[in-house]
Amino acid sequence: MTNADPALNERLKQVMAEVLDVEPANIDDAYARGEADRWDSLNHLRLITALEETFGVSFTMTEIEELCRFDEIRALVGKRVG
Amino acid sequence: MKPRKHPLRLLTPPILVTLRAYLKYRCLISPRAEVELTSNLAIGRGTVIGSFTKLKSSDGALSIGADVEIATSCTITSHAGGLRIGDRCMIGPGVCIIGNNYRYDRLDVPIQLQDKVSQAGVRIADNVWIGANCTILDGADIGPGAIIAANSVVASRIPPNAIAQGSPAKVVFTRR
Repeated sequence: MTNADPALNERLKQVMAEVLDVEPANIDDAYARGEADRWDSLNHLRLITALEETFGVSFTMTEIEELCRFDEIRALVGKRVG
Repeated sequence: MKPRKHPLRLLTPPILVTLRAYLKYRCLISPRAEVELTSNLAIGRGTVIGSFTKLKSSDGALSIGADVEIATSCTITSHAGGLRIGDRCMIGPGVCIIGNNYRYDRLDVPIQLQDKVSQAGVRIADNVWIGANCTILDGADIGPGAIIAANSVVASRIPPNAIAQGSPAKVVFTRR
């Protein structure tokens, strides 16, 4: 599964949109923590929990702290499910 | 407000409470805090209690562990069910930890005059961080390593290493 997998892309956007209460259309590769509204530290943890439950994956604390952008999340989730 | 049961505590200068607590428990209590040094109270070594914090232990056992940091303007009251805070906890400013409840089933009696009840008391394990302005109620049981986000309300069990938020607080993440 490549980073450009459309199905993964869309599913990730849906999960992020639900957790962060934004429109999926507003999420692009540069969508980043700290710059986006509502993507604060607590919502970041909610997002991680939602990703782990949705995709059946698990992240280390180091990975959780380093994930800051949508494209990084897509790459890591893609690697884990692929 | 009910009259104090022990006027001697009212007349004791706060700096003497600070000194007595240091000598007895090796803890630091701000002279601006209000701490009832009763036989129900136990405080561990190295604990620090900030200004304008109130500790009421006349109604039940209140045990605070070692190296606990309690910030300013907290209210901690124990009742029959007991209240225990473990070692190395951090309690943020404005936190209320209330070990009792009131009955309210009678409409013909003012709530103030109905019984105080305490179910299981409050249990806070070691290494817990409670954020600012949280309310911890009778029945709360917070596991070791847990973090309670600011402005949350806890009245039930929070598992170890959980990060919880909300009213009532729900687990949003588990530390690993």
